[in-house]
Formats: sequence, C-alpha cells, structure tokens
Amino acid sequence: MLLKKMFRDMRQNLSQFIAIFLMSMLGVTVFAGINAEWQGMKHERDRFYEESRLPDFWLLGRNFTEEDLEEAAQISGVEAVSRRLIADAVVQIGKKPALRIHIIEDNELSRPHLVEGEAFDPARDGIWLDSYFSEAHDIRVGDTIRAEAGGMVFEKEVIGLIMHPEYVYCARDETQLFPQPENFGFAFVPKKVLPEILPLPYNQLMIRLEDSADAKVVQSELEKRFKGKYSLLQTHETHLSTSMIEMEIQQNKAIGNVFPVVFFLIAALAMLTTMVRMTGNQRIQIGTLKAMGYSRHKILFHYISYGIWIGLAGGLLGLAIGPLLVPPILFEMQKTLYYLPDWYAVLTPESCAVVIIAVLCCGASSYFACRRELKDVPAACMRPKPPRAGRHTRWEKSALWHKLGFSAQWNIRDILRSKVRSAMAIAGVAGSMTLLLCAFGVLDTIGGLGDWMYRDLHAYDYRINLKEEIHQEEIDALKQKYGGQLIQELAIELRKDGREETGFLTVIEPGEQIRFQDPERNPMTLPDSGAAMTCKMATLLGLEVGETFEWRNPGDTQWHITRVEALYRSPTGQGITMSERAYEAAYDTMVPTALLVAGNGSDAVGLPGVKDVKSKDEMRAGLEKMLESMRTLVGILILAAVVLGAVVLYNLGSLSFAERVRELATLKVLGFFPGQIRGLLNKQNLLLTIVGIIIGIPCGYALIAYMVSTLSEAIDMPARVSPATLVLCIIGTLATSLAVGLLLSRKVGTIDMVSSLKAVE
Amino acid sequence: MEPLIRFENVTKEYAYGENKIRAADNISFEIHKGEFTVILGPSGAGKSTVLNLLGGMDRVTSGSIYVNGCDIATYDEKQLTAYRRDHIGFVFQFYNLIPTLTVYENVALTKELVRNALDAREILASVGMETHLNKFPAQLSGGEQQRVSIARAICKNPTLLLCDEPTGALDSETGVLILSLLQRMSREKGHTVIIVTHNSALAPAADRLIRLRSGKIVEEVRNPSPVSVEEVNW
Repeated sequence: MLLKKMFRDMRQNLSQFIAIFLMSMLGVTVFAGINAEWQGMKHERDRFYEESRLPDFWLLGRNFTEEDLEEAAQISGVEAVSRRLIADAVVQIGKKPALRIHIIEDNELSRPHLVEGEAFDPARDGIWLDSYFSEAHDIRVGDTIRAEAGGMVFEKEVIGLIMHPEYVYCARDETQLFPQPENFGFAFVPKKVLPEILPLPYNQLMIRLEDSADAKVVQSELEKRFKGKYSLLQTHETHLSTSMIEMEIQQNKAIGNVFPVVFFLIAALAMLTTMVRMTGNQRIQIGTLKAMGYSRHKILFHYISYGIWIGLAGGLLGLAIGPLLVPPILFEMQKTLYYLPDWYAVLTPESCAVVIIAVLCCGASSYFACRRELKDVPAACMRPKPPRAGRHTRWEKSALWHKLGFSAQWNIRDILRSKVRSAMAIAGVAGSMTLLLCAFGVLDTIGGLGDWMYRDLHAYDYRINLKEEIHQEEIDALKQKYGGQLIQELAIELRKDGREETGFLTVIEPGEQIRFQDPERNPMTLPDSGAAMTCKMATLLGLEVGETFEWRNPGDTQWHITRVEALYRSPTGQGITMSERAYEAAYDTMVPTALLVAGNGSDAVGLPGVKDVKSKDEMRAGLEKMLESMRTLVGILILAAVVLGAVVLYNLGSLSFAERVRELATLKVLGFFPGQIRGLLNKQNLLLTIVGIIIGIPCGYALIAYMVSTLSEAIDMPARVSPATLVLCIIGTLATSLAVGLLLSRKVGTIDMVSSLKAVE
Repeated sequence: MEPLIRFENVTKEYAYGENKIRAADNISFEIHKGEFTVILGPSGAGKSTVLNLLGGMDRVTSGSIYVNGCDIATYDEKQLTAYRRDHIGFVFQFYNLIPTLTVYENVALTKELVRNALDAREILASVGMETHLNKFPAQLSGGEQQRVSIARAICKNPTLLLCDEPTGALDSETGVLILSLLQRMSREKGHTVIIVTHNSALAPAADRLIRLRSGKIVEEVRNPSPVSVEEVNW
C-alpha cells in the first residue's frame, strides 16, 4: 500500500522527482561513460601488449651481440630477450615519407598484429607495412615499395598490413604531437631479407620480465651489466607510445572521477530540498500513520525509499546509457590519436558501485529530510507546524534599519529566520557558478595554451631539425643561409634527495627566437651560469632558486651537479635550460639538434645535415589537435552543468515558495498587490544569487586549478579565465537564477487565500 | 468489574514559547468496556489532550493511565507504537485520509499493521461506502470521507475507538449520521467508543459523560438510560 502511495506522491511532484532522477542519471552516465571509455582503452591496450609480448625494457645501443643476449637472459626475473635493428628509411613515393624499419631476428618479443594479408614470418622474404601508412599512401598487399636507407636502396613486396603496440601513439619523436601517417610510418622486415655478408649491428635489445619480477631490481642490474654498451634505457614510462597512451588514460580517469562528485552532491541537495518540502506537506499524514500504529522506522523507511527508488532508477538508466553513448563520442576523437586494434567500452564493478553511491546519496538525504518530522510525538505532528518565530536582529537598533523600508526589512528577517533554506539557495547558485566557471575556464586554459606557447614564447617561424651526425660545416652553411638560433635538446634524468624525474635539457645560443618568462610570466633572460628550471619541474623535485640538483644523460653513469639560478615557466618540455655559454663552461661543447629560423625555412628540406623542417603553424595545429579530445569532454560537461544548474535552482525556488505560501497569502489578504509581493521575492532571490555567485567564483577557480594539475606532469597549464568568460558565467548564472525566480513569482497570483489560510487555528 | 481505562492524576503541560500551558490538570476518571463515552467541553478545555494521551500520541507530564491494567504512561516510544497499532482506532476531525491512496487502499492499509484485521470490503459496506471503493479521498464529500476514516479505524478491530470532533467539519445532518454510526458500533459490535466534542447536545446519548473546563473535570456521570443519537434534540 505504501508503495502505491509513494508512486502516486511521485506523480504529484513529478518535476522535482524527474529532476533528481535526471541528476542521479547524469552523474552515473558521466562516470560510467567515461569509466567505460578509459577502462575499455586500458583493457584493449593491455590485451594488445600481452598478445604481442611487448617488452618491459628497451636498451638502445650500437651493437648488441649474442653474448649480450645471453648476459641479459641470465638476470633473474627476465623471461625473454630479443634484439632487432631499427633504421629510418625514406620511401620513394610522393613527398618521400619516412619509414622506420625494424629488422627482426626471431619475432620472439614485440610481435606485430596482423590487419590484412599474411602473418609475419621471419623465414619469409618481403615487408610488413604499417596499416595506417599504407592507407595514407594507398599501398595494398601485393604492391612493391622502394625505400632508401643509409645510401642503400631496396625493393620489397608487401606481404601484410600490421599494427604494433609500440606505435599505438605513432609519432617519430617528441616534437611530433600527433600521428601523421602520410609523413611517418613503420615496417617490419625479416633479417634474412638482407645479404648475410655483414654481421648486423643490432641496435636494440628488448627485455621482457616474468610477472613476478621486480622491475626496479632488474633495471639496476641491466644498468650495471651493460654499462657503456647502451645509450638509453627505455621503460614503459619513458617510451613515447606507451607513456602517451597511459597519460591519456589517466587524464580521462581524472575528469571522469571529479565531475560526478559534483553531480551527486547536487542530486543529494535536490533530494534533500524536495523531501523536506514533501515531508513538511505530509506532516499530518505522518501523524496519521503514527496514530494508526506505524512504527517510526517503518515510516522512516517509507520516506527513505523515495530516495532509494529514484536514485536506483536514475543510476541504472545511467549505467545502461553511459557506456553506450559516451565512449563512441570519445572514441571518435581517440581514434585519430591512438591506433589500437579494437575499440570497445568496458563495464566495470566501479561503475556499478557508483550506482550504489547514487542510491546512498539520495537515500541519505531523504533520511535527513524526514528525520526531523518524525521526531515529534504524533499529536504534535497532527497540529499544524507553528510558524517559526521572527527574531529581532541587532541591525534593527541602528538608524539604518528604519531607512530600509518594508521590503528590505522583511527580506532580511526572512533570510535570517530561515538560515538553512537561504544557505541551500546560496549553495545551489554557488554550485552552478562553480561548474560553469570550471567548464569554461578549462576551455580558456586550453585555448590560452596555444597562444602562450606559439605566440608569446616561440618567435621563430620554422624549426629545422638537424641530423645526429651533422658536420660543423653543414651547420655553418645553414646558419649562414637562414640566420636563426641553434638549440640542443635532449632527454635527461633529474634527481634531488631521492626524488627522480625525467625531463628535457635545452641548451640555447644567444638570440631572440625563444623567449623566457619568469614565474609571474614577465619577460626574463637566462642566467650566464648554472641552469634555469621550469617551475613545474622545480615543484616536482621540491627545489628552489639557489639549490643544487643532479642530472645525467640516460645511459651515463655519472651525475652532474648544477645549481638552479632561476625559474621560468614553460607549457611543455619540463626540465632545465642553460645558455650556450653556461653549458660549455661547465660541461661540453653544444651539439645542436635544431635551428630555429624567422622567415621562410621550408626550402631547407633535403639540404645536407637536415632531418626535417617543421613550420610553427604545423606544430601549433598538432598541439590544438591533442587538446581537442579534452574539449569534447569538457563540452559534454558544460551541457550537463547548465541542465543541472537550472534544475537545482528551480527545485530550491519552488521549495522556498511552498514554505512561504501562508505568509504570502497573509500579505495578499492584507491588501498587497501581487506585483509588490513578486518584487519582494525577486529582491531576495537577487540578493541570494549575488552572494552565491561571489562564493562560486573562488570555488570555480579552485576546481579549474585542480583539473589542470591532474592533467599531466609534462604540461604546465596556468589556470586562466578571461574577463569575458567570467562575465559570461556571471550573467549566465544570474539569468538562470532570475528566470527561475520570475517563473516562481508568477505563482503568487495563483495563491488561494482561503485554502492557504484555512488550516490556521 | 475492573474498568478498561483509568486516568489517575494526569497532568500535561506544553511549553509554548516561554510560557507553560497546563492542558490537563490533575485529571482522574474511569471508562468501562463497551461504553459510548462523550468528553464535552469548550475549545481549549483539554479534550483533545486527554484523547491524545489516551491514544498514545502524546506523553503525560505526570500521572498514570491504565488501559487493560497496564500503565501506558510508562511506555517507551516502541511500546507506544505497538500500543497504538494493536489497540487504538483514531477518527479525526479532518479525516486525515492518505490523499494518494483510494478508499479501499486507505482501509486495507491496516492489514499491513495488524494480523487480525477485519475484511476491508465488509467494513466499508457496513459504513455504506461499498460503491466508492476505487475513488480517491478528494472525490468524496466530507461525510463520506469521515465514514472511510471510521472504517479504517474499525478495520483494525481496536480495543478503543477514539474520535476527535468527528463531526466538526460536517453539516449537522451528516454529523448525525456519523454519530449514529459510531453509536451503532458501540451498541451492536461492542466497541468502546470515546468521542470528544464541544457540542453538548450529544450528552443525553452518552453512556458516560465527562465534562472538562480549563483542563479540569467538572462533571463525570454514568447515564443509565442513554437515548439513541437520532432522538437527540439538535
């Protein structure tokens, strides 16, 4: 019977319960949707890694011998060892795209995944080609491709099209920010394809660990045993592809975990307000049920079940539609950045647990709402609730009070008398403001990143990347032709008091192509000695100006000690920068890796010593594209925030209206015009809204800062909200709140004085 | 014979703001099983307070209330709930039906509370409401709602049927019908019915009459020859 009562009660308060239902649904949809997306990616990635037997370590060197293989295999915890030769080739078609060729000895580790054609076979002659590269160049199985590497030209038939776990994020190096299959791809070739005259200089050693092995122990053992024989040791944290996709998954996880919290808080708030109103209206019914002999906990459970049913229904629907709707939208974006064999959503126990959280939020707030009504003895419940006594405030003694006029006096007393209701209204406005500001602020921050990096900091137009084995004469010739500024960039390890990070070392000639900004983003110059460190890296290492830290090239055993002379801010490439003079005075001659030129540098392609040329616009487009996936995510959230804000404000508004019907009816009986009463209500609404907005602004900033900080260790994104955005958010919140207020104050005309006042004794 | 109900020096005070109001002031009386009792008094005399205390809806400030030999004034919240559930049927001035349940459902609700509930259809038929089973309270007249409310109270087969101004919101003709229904319940079915009212015209119809004024008993009489409600001169 009470179940029937519940459903009919819900039908009578349909808009409120739909609102709570929607919110609980949205919360679970966002969480379960994003969770299903990143969990799906993670699951497929792990499966892909396992299927292809991805190694845990890569040693890069010049020539790994049979003995080295045995040496590595002897380390306890190592499951398998394999070696291969990697060489960059240029394919003789169109714009001469680069192809990274893997020459495979035994296909024991890091196996390719077949997309089309025949499976990779180390005993066969032919080439297996990156499926995205072949698609971009319209190469099919059975076609022949011509490529040139190190002065050698070879021609091979394409046997199969493949994907590979080391090219999930398929970029040539860190400077390329998104995959461009038309410019870069990879290929697998069996070793027997090459003439067997020379012993092959295998330049990569791959080591896969047993499941139970301690990676740290094996890593230090490798470093010890292969000291001097390798230049770089890569792990999943430093490998470009594995680290990029891991970062992407972590980003999605952060966003997917933060926002539903806000949704659930608001759902709980809405549930609380609705149930307070409902149990208030049903006071006499509660008294009747009590008089009939229903026990306290039975009635309590009856009202809690409103929350439980609504939360459960919304949660289950969210659980059903979230993983169905959200991942496909996000996958569309992810597919352009990451190459996985398969894309699917995964429903995790976590998502199911979130449904329980939604149910608990709604159930608990119903409990708190009706607990108060149930405390009274039944006889007290049957009497109409005594109106809360108005109290004099200290203000009233001041001369100011008398000048305020009736409406201000009424409003101030009313707000002070019902502190909880006012606080909830303020919290509702502040919550909407926070969400809106955060969503738009993240968009601003993302938008500002491109301008900051490529307009404020990087002045050059073209970046000419130099080959590793470039001669000094070639550098001089380029410098003469284009002018510009030489820089050297390399990945290093940094440490301080046991904290270890990887970052970049940049050595730079005097010049104007890259500008530096101090922590407050004012222009600064590099110190003549020691190093300047990015703020983010300094935070990660816990360093301050004047302190020393250690760094080394990965593969080196010797650590260099350097003093931090200054801090600077940089959006990407966290690490240290030294002026050429400081670097050469302390360490070594600079070996430039790129030349930054103003004006046109695109014709440098193909000149001796030039690896490739990138325009600033191209790089900026890459950055924007990388940030695009975040934009999609934030877009979904903005939409939800707006719906949420409107719903909460309407709910709170109608609650406070219902609470005051009797007072308003009295005012009406006294002869106030409906317009005057509306004015009274709107003034209060405006006041509370303004207070809410003022509270919401710092909360919004804090949430932006939190979101940005969770994004990535490699990117320093200062939270930025443009004045226009701030004004837009304020106007948006104000407009929503006032529109809701107007909508509600229209009801003043419909108050029936007789029935509202009848029950008063 | 041991009386069914015995009030002994019952006092009830309400805190109202900073003032204390003594709604029942040292009241003592007895009611026997099967009696049709009327508690009379002007408004504010403490009639409803007495009824609420008897119904386990409120706690005494001091004194004892014996029902079937047990002092309900010593009961805790849980015992009071069980007492209300098993022994009391309430009829209110404003009916207090659950607006979202139908006539039948309102009465059948009692089945969830007590095991020996009577058949809801039969009871509704006995109060003349058998044709309105599927209507909602809002679709009924006041008299009809009150009959449903009586049916709901009786359906539990309670020890006591407590009625707080059951005709207060009804016109006099309907009021007579409701009161004669209640009197019939007492005469024919043996229910102990206690009615609180300010209408002294009902006095001759009572088996026992208790008059209250300002929280004190001014008259308590047993009427050996009560008239039927229809014969009362309204």
